Amino acid sequence: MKTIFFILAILISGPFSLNQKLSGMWQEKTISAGDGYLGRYVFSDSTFEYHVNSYDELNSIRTIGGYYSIQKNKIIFRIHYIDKFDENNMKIWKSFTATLNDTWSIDFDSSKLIKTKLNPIIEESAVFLMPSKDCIEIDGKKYYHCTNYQGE
Amino acid sequence: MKKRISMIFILLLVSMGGYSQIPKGFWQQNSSQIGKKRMAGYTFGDNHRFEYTISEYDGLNPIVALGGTYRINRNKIYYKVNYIKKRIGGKLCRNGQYTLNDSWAFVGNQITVIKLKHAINESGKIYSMTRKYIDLSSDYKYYKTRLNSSL
Repeated sequence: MKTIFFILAILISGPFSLNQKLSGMWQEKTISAGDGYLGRYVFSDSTFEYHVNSYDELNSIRTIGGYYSIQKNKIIFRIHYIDKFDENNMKIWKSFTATLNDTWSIDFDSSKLIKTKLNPIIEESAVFLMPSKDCIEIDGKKYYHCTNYQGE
Repeated sequence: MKKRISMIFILLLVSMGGYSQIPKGFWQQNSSQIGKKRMAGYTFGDNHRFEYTISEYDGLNPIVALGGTYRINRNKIYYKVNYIKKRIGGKLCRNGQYTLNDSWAFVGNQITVIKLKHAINESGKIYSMTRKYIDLSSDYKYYKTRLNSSL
């Protein structure tokens, strides 16, 4: 009887624990950060944000965000919003710090970041694995837990 | 033979610091080999025309290219950007063809050329230039590919 309760408790708490374990920032390729971060996911217990590589300043889309859930080896993303620079008023220049796209960049200081809410929301899924407590795989791409992430 | 002489002449002019053009064609970041998709790179054409295109593995960035004219003075390249090519519309989804940005991409979009009211003037250093590559930054070299210029 005790065993049944124990199994039930694990089954009930299982997905919740995994979401709790995911809380924080997960960066592609490496746990270390230089002047900026590479492509990364920031998870809370229920929300996610995907941030594009900081070294790519030509991309007007900076963040995709919403809610997520994990079912077995699948992660389901429900995208509620996109953070994007206003393309009508953005200035392009060579920044010398954004190393991707040969330093061609949007001048973030003179451009306005706009949160666009999606209606209807977009639902997408990916194969999800957690080979170790410091590493997750989303559709085969590895992301590493950055424990010293202070937000951005 | 004529082509070779022209190229040697162009390279000599560039190395001497004279005004000149970069040989026509697509110069790709990191490699002269074209894979399933093109990586980021510059297309140089006649009459000092250029176009910078982002990696085709990036399906998320709405800006896919920028272009205009260029000139070279000594070891510097001066760009005058007259237009931007943008993806308009499309549906945000995950698509394994686009390996950058964790496969997030807009599919089913249209590419539109937006002419700029005010040209953007920018410059960059040419660290070195050979028949095979141009070194435009400390991070990446751009290699001459077999692809001809569309400009």
